[in-house]
Amino acid sequence: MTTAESPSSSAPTGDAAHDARRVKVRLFRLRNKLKEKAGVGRAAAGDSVVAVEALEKALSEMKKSQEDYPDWVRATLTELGEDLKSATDNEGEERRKHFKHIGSIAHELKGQGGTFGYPLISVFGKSLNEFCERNDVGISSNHLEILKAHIDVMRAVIKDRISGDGGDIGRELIAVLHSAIKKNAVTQQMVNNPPPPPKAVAKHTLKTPAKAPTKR
Amino acid sequence: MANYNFSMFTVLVVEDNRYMRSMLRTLLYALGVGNVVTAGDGGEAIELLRKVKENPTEAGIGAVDMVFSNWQMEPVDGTMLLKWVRRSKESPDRFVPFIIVSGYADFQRVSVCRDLGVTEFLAKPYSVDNLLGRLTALVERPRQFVLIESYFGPDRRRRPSPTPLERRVMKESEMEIIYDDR
Repeated sequence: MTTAESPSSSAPTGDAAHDARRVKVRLFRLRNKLKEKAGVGRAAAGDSVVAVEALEKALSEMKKSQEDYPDWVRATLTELGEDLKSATDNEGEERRKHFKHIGSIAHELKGQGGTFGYPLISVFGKSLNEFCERNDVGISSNHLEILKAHIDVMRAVIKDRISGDGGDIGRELIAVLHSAIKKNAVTQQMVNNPPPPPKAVAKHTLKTPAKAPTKR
Repeated sequence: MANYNFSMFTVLVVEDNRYMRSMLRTLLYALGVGNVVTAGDGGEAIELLRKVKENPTEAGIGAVDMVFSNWQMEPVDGTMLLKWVRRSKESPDRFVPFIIVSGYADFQRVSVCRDLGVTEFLAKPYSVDNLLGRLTALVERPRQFVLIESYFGPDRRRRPSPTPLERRVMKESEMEIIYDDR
């Protein structure tokens, strides 16, 4: 048995050292400890990966979190509002610092929104994050308006609890944001890259794939 | 009908946002995971993993079976933690499955994680199905680990050769295969 405890194996001697110098790659083929712990698992392709009750419980927990999301994300939107105020009150490098902080909050919102059933928050969070990561962000006061427009549409989503793609209201909010970007954009590139509508959210389903997934 | 039972798993969740952290922990418990431990950033996770190696009794954890880590965290982010887990001599298990959970899902950024030795990538936003898919992949499709001069981590070659000409050729004498079960 060769141990696989250390990827940087100790230096061999003699002939072994000569061989080792030629070895360019070491492959570690380990026991599947996770499978040993998880048991036999799916006997047939149609079997659920975990017990159906477990899956139902997870979906129900997810739903509960989705109901609570608007309440706790309000604090984050308030923080964004405060950063906007500070960005407005300052100029130059100090202003850019606030833009960067807003970009990092927007990145969080992008990840959270869709997870908690509010994909429009992910759309607006992504758009705001990309905007704040631009090299020229903050050079123009118009950028403050673009920032404000993002915060406003996100507030609207949370205030009216617009989950899913939001239907007509969702489309309207995207159009409002696009129009604000167009009005205040400093470059044509920004006009040409408005936020797209939300992608279809991965469905929470109890079905198991009929066939084993293919290797990526 | 047979299902997997994750009750023997200990999962480390590293996430700075307490709501996201709490939700991931809740979902893992709901899916049957036996023990979920959490850390608020990569630094806290390193402290915990060090303790697991030095004194598992005191840590209250025999071993961590997998790590789910957010990317963007301060002061120590997910990629720094991944680097430490794979390369540090203090790491309790350099082979531990490591899943980066992040809103940064573009090819360039995913490639950064891949080259640091990530096992799976879970893009935010995610669903219960996405999460369960990653857990299943770890159990059903583990990959061999590769050690070369510039890389240590799970085999990055998941697909057949991307070009008509297979250039990924290695002589047997240049390869050493190491098993832990024979």
